[in-house]
Amino acid sequence: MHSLEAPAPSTFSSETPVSEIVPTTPETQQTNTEFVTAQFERVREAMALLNGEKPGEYSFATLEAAKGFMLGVGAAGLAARNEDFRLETRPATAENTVGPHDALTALYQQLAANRAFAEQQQHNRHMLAEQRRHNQAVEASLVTQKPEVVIETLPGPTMEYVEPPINDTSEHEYTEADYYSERAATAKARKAARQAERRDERSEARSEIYDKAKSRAKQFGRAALRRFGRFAKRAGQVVAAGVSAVRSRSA
Amino acid sequence: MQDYITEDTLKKLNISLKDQDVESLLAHLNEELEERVGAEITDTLDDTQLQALVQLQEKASEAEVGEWLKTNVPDFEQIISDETDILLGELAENVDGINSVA
Repeated sequence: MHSLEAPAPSTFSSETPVSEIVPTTPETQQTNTEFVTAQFERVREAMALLNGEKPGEYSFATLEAAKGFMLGVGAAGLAARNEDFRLETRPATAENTVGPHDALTALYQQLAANRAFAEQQQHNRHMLAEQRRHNQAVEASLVTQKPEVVIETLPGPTMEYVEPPINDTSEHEYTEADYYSERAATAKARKAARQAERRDERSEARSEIYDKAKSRAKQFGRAALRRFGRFAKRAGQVVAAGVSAVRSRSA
Repeated sequence: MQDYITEDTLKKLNISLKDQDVESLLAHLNEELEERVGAEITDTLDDTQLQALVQLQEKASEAEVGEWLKTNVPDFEQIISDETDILLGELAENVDGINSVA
């Protein structure tokens, strides 16, 4: 059995071949070399994954980092185990490669933790986006949604039949007063329209001659009415027309 | 004085008053109509026309003034017709009140 002297860590560098990191005897060299190489490849792939690189495709930085890792754990493992680290007497399994194995376990655990953390972050981002969409939907609904109108149902009026009195004429009877009132309403509307038109045409106040003429309005009116001629007959015609209209509507 | 609204008009409006009251009412109605027609005509004329009308009224006959008005007043006949209708309407609406005085 050969005991291995742990080489000083300072003697290793990134340029140190892997085979030199874990010294082997000629008998175990092949086994150890394969084992270390396999571990190195696993570390390199793990580093590549940590760096976001595709499996089997790794950058130079990843390669250097994996070699540095192997140098570190190898030297540390050898220093810790010292002579007890006898790779040549043990099968190339995890049990006899405490240093690199523990380091790899820690690395994988970190990788798994990183993945879990990344997955949790992704989940958090997803939940945050969901919450944001929900908030936006609620906000939009608050803007567009009309307040709910509560219609209070009140009891309707009670329909009670009332017997009409005998000889009741519920329908309005068209009278002479209605006829003349209608004509008067039409005449008033025309007069108002004429006055409004005059107000639009004359913005200035009337002059002194207006007041003088207004004081003679009755004379002017009488002259106008007489000129209008047969006015009495016309007035009579209006009344007769009113009576006729009343009779025709009442018929 | 010529009546434009006559006793017959009042009868057809179912206004029944004593003879004295009828005469008084007719005088009032016709003077009121003259006043309203004259006021409306005056309002329709501008100052130049009013000056001419006042001067004409001081020296011409009533018939000549009437002729001038017929020529110079826009809506001459419509004004008279409207003022008559308005007054008759007021009369018809107050038949009950007028009869209650009798």
